[in-house]
Amino acid sequence: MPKWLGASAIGALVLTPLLGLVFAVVDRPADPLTGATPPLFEVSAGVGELLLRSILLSVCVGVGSGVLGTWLAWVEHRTRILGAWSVVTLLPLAMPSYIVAATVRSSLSPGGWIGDALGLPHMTGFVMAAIVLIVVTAPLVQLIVGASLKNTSAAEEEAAIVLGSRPIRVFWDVTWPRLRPAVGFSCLISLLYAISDFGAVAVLDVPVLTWRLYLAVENQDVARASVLGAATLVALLPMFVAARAIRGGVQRAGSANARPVNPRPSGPRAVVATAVSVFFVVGLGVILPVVTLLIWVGDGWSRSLPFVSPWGSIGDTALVAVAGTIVTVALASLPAWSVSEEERLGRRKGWLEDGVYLTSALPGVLLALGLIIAAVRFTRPFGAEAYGVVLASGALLMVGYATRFVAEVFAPLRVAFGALDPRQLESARVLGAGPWKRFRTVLLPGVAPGIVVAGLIGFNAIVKELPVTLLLGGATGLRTLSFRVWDRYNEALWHDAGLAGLWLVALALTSAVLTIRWRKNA
Amino acid sequence: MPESHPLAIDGLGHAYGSNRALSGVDLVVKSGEFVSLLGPSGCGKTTLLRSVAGLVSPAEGSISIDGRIVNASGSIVVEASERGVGLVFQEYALFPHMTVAENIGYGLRNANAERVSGLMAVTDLTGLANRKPSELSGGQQQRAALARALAPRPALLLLDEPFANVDAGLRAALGRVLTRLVRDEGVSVLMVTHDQDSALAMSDRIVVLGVGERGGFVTQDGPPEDIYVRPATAEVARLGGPALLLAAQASGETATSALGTLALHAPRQGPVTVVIRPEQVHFSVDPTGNAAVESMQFHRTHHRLRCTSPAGEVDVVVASNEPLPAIGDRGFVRVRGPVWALEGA
Repeated sequence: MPKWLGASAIGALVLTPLLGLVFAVVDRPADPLTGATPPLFEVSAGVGELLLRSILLSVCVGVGSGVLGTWLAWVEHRTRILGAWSVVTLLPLAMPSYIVAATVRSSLSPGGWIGDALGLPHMTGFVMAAIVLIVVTAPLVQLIVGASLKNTSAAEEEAAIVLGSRPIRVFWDVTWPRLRPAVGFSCLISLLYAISDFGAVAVLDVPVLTWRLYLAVENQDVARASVLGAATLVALLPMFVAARAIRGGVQRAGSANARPVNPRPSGPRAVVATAVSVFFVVGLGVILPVVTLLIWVGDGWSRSLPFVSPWGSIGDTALVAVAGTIVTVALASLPAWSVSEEERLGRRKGWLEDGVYLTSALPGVLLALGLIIAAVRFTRPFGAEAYGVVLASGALLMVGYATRFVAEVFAPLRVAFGALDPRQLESARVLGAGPWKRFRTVLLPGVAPGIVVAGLIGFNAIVKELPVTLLLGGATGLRTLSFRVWDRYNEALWHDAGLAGLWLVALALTSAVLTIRWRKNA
Repeated sequence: MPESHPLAIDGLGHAYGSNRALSGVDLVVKSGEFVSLLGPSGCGKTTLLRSVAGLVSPAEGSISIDGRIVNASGSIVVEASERGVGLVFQEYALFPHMTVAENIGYGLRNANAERVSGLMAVTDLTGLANRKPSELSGGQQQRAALARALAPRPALLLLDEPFANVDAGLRAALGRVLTRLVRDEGVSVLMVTHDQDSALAMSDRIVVLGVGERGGFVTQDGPPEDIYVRPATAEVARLGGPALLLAAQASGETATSALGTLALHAPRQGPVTVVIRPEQVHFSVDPTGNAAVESMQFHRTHHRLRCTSPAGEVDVVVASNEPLPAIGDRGFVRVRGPVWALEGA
């Protein structure tokens, strides 16, 4: 497959929203009454404070989830405390942050089922947002650091022991240098997640860039949105550069075919610390949200409130998620194939991979803004109606999903393509198989498990996605479950929000469990 | 007071769940001695080595190092970090984020640049002090691992399959470095290997482990010549190198076999199995002979012939400077010198 095809796909996905953001800055629209372009100081008022708060929140989340996730990874791979149950701490991965935030706020604040019992104050603000985002991102750290822990070499640690080192020194001298890139990288991923998140901060009333950017886009205040968007990019850029620098270290760390370290029995302090951390992550991240959603629904039934049928939203969600997944996987396959080919030939340059990660680093709100402005500009020559047609067709929504999640589905696809042995295709060719037969009998069976995993990851991400769905999907007339949860929650119709939320969680959990099972085959 | 040896193992036994790995193993390594543990896969030789290092807690028996009991009745008395032994891992296990010099100096209580540079010199690593392990060849990595293990001047050095990841060309050279270093450092060595050539060439003594229903056990303990020439069992004979095991009828100092009457190393009576090494077998060309050359391979210093004979297929070694028969030539197979006889056919 020619490399330019993969490069073009990624180039288009990166450049379209970025061009849109450039247009947004250039086009700062004139005031409809006075005809004057608003001065920059006017639209940028308070942006510095928002920027500072966004950075502070993301740093708190990065550090918090780094510590918690690393501990959970250690518990999973180095102790026997949880055994096979250690996967339960990964469950919050399937929970949308806005549902966790909404249910935590509702249940812990006065009037909530826990808040009333314990007499708690209103659970909103910076600290609560940080806690919710730590709970949601800690499993990401657990996964990344856990993969690194699994690849550490027992022989290296044993060598240090035999040379006279006590366990603490073995950890700092031998284990930690192996883990450091993974811990740093996963902290940055949590940091990027936190700075990009808009649902949880909006629900918990924390004025940060993404939430204000969403409001500006919703109010069609392009001038303000462009300044907020630029500020978000300023905050993101150093984090992205740092993540890029560390990513290579994560890939290099660990020993291929290393004999893994066997889990060891733990003391009572480790058991207590594990119990507290599991209670924190699973309790706040899964049990409390699900119970609260059930209470909302039960409350609606007991008061005979009218429910909006969820079937339409389930159908819309399935339609949007399946279509979005197909588009995303198809587009991600092009660079995944090119990168795996480069690796096979030993000419890995990495810029194509960087493009993939850059594409997905844009927060959903910023991405949606960029795509909207780009679509307005590009459709202008085709008449005033053209933009509306494009938006209503769902094409922009599909591009939004593909851009947002291309990196997530890229990783398993690259692994699947990379594992293909070109000699198998050559053998089939020498044995007389034509291109179609080679594709059907050798290529497809080889990469199919990887494609299924990529598809499940994409499906899960799209089902939970909020800002792109709200800003680009509204005009399509489709009302997905995430759209319905957000819409009903903001109108205080909690019974409806609860029902849609339960279906959403069920879909997300199912796809997450299937991903874990299929990953073993891929 | 009993004599204290660098290593003394008494009645060692261990199991992984329901799988017995070792049973009733007794072993002593004397001061300055190079002992190899030779045995097939699954005989528990690595478990034994890891037990001595303190990385496995054996269920039964005791281990003492330099007269100090480190394991007794299934519990660790002295932790691995306090045993003061050197261990070279099969996969070397160099710390990838440290330089070669940092790796070698890791086990030293106080930084000692002289000791590190001295060991680098004798292991041919001079000039590579600031390299990372990933920048070294396989042979250099192995020498660095050896230097790291020797740096704290252990009384006992444990080697776990040290030649497993080295090609045949490097093996002999590394073996020479190892034996020279061990002699210069005055360290006693216990080496685990399944490579009979290395064990025979380097060891003062070889302990052969067999696999039984109750896990690995010692089948023979003796100098390399004994293991090769006077094996205790047919398994030991095979572990020692290529051998023709032939049923024979012994009567005093000779035995009658399909290859004729054979002289024995030690008198025996009744049915026996004689152990004949290829270099003991001679093929003489004779058109009336009852054997024939079937195939031939060239091995630099000699040719190895495979001949059909009244005793079945027999390997014959012909030195490169001796006249060589052609494939298909007929002749007689004869055994030179005395052979070892095992009781029973």
